[in-house]
Amino acid sequence: MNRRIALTVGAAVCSLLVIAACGVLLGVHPATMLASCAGAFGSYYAVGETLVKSCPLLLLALAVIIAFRAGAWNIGGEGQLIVGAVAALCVAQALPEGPLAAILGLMAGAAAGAIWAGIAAALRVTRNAPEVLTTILLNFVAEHFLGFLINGPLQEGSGKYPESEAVAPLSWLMTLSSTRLHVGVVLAVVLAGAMHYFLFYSAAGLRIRAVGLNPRAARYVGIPVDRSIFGAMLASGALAGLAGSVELLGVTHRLFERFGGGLGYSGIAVALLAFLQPLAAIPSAIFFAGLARAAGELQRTAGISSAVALLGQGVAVLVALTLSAPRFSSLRVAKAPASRPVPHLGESS
Amino acid sequence: MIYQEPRLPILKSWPNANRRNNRMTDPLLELRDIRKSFGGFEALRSASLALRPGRVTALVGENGAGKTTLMRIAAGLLAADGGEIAADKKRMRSWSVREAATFGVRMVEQHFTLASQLSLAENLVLHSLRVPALISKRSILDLATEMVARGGLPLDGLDRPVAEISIAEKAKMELIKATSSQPRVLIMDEPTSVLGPRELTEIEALLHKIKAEGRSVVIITHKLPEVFRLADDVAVMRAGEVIFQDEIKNVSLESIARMMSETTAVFRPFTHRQPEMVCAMKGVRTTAGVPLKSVNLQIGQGEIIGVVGAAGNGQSELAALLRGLLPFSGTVTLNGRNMTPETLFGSRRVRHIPADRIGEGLFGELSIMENLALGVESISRSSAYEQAVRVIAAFSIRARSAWQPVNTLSGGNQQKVLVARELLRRPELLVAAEPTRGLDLESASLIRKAVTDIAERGTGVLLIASDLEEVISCADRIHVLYRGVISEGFAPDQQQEIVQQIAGGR
Repeated sequence: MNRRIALTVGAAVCSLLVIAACGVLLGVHPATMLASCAGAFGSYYAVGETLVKSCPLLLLALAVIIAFRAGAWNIGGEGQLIVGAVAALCVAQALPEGPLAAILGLMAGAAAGAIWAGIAAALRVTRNAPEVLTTILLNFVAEHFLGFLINGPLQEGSGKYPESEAVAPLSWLMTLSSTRLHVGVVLAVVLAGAMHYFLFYSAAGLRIRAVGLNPRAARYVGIPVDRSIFGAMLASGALAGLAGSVELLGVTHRLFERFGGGLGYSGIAVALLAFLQPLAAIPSAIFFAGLARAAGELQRTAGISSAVALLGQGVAVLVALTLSAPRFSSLRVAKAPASRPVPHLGESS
Repeated sequence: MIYQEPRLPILKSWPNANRRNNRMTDPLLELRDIRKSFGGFEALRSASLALRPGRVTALVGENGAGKTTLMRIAAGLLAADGGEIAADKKRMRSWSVREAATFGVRMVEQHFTLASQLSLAENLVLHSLRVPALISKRSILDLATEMVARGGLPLDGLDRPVAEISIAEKAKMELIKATSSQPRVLIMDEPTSVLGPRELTEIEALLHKIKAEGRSVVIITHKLPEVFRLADDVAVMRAGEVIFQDEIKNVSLESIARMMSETTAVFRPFTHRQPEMVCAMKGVRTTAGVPLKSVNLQIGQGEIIGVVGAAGNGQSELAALLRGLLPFSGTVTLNGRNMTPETLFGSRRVRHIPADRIGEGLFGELSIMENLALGVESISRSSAYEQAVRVIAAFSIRARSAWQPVNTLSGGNQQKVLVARELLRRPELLVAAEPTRGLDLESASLIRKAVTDIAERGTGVLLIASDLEEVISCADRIHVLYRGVISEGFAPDQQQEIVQQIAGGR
């Protein structure tokens, strides 16, 4: 456990060093770069913004965690997030404005995400179609579906911009005083705690993990493997859909092209850096959100592309996964590795 | 000459006679006092075997006697822990795959290593050493045809993909791959288990040719009639030692059967009561894997019913069927109720100890506590911990704590966790497959006791194992499974009949 924390922190530091090195190579003074960190954590407002940004990341990471733990590789967070946001918008606009519209909007988002993931799950369980592929392909479908909606039936009144009408302000998620910090953040943290409890303190969670680790053995203990995977995929889709509806009702208030913006994929990075631990996903999500905020600041002040945030993400995950992998595991046939910190990727039959 | 500790009367007269007969033939390859352990399990104690040119040696013995291990060492596929290997009377310093191949030892293993997307010709050419840099369909076919001719087994249709050919043809492919390089020592592991009578005749012809060329062959087999048909010499292995080697003309089928299974087993006191029926299978057939053909079995309360036979004759299918993982026709009843695969799967009163401990039994990354908790419907974390502590004490599992992942335990302790999990709530039916395979004596006897104890308390046990001795020592009735067909029940003392059934007699 402590080893993992050390690894995670080490990986995060490595990614910062790589970004700093890039900055130096591009001729940016280190002080400027330090100052950009203030953009992420420097003020009450900045911290609020970072937390707001980390909220969908955390929910998406939880989505990845529950699915990966069950041995289902849900790469479709992006698509599930989009359909969740669409559903939330439709429901919130159809209902009289007020907190009820927000609550039902969130629920509709979760339901839509679950259905979207359910398509892939059903294909996996009934036709044995690899969910890695189907979920990715459904991402494209969702993106183009969104494009159609905001240029067609859901386009704003004037018909000029490729975006939807905004949700009425009374249906927005409640925010904390002067920041954009909304209740969705609290919801995400509570869900992280709940998932930790579910996975590690409940018999059902144990069964889900068992299915992910060894589906053949799970069958012999009498666990319905297909049903468990299906359930985990639905829960995963619901969380991703919830991320979309929280983002819509709490931050953007409207749909637009590239609503997902790669959040779904960043969620996978967050989950992997957290070694699929729900509670560790909280700091992991905040780290990535801060990285993105600081990168944005760097772009404004020093003219470095904010894509360095993606670079940092990549470095962190690669470092964490490489260092934690059992060394030369494929060469050591006789002895099983003492512990395998990362639930193995692949090998699911 | 090879032979140690003459435990059997038949040995007393043969060494001299043997030496007289075969003075002129020095062994091509000689293995002396080979030792090999896997973990704590001693697979080979001190095994010696001499292979003479122009002779076919049949290597027989029960499952787990060490036949395949010894031959893998001979072929350089496994490194021995101790002992000597002499090739052409020269003592070899090291014996790796490379050295064995250079000398000319080739082994045909039981599993197939064919690329199913490629054609037969392409598969053969993959194994040839002399492939030109540029190839065409035509040249590949020519090369393959030449290899088949050199191999000495007829095979047509070399342009067919492997996916389309029968199992018998696949087995022939493996043989051709090995024989086309004209090895000086050819080792075949159970070559006839999937071959029909026609292929057997072809192999017979091949053996004649090899013998005439002064090369040597080893056939690992369970089937005694074949030994007498194909072999010149026979070597019997038991418990990691070659206990007997002689010319085939000096022995009888019965004496070999007796040597293979000589046992000191103590029979379980047989109870002559009519127990309540727990599980009955009538005319059960399956189609997947090794198809089961009409299985009839009855397991009563407190009974231990043994199913023996060489692995791969339908054992795993029988276990999977009772877990509800295989569709079947016929009737399976549990406590008088008709069962379907779905109801069998849902039944918490049928528990399984799968043969493949880590692959099908345990979750290596999970802790002892978590593995045990999976054996019960629902449990809180604190009672799961208490349960684990109790089990660790009761089964004397050597572990640092209840939180230790099971893949860090030794094989014996892993198996104790598995058995304990399945016995947590007394099941009505326990299907135990190879529950003590590869374990040290202490763990094995502890597990055997746990299984007999649970039977004493009324559980019906189906014990599926390849170790005849173990089954005989604790089962009430014993069936033999051979190629998906299950025999009638034998009493534990009908050992001769059982051994004959295992070897495919009748």
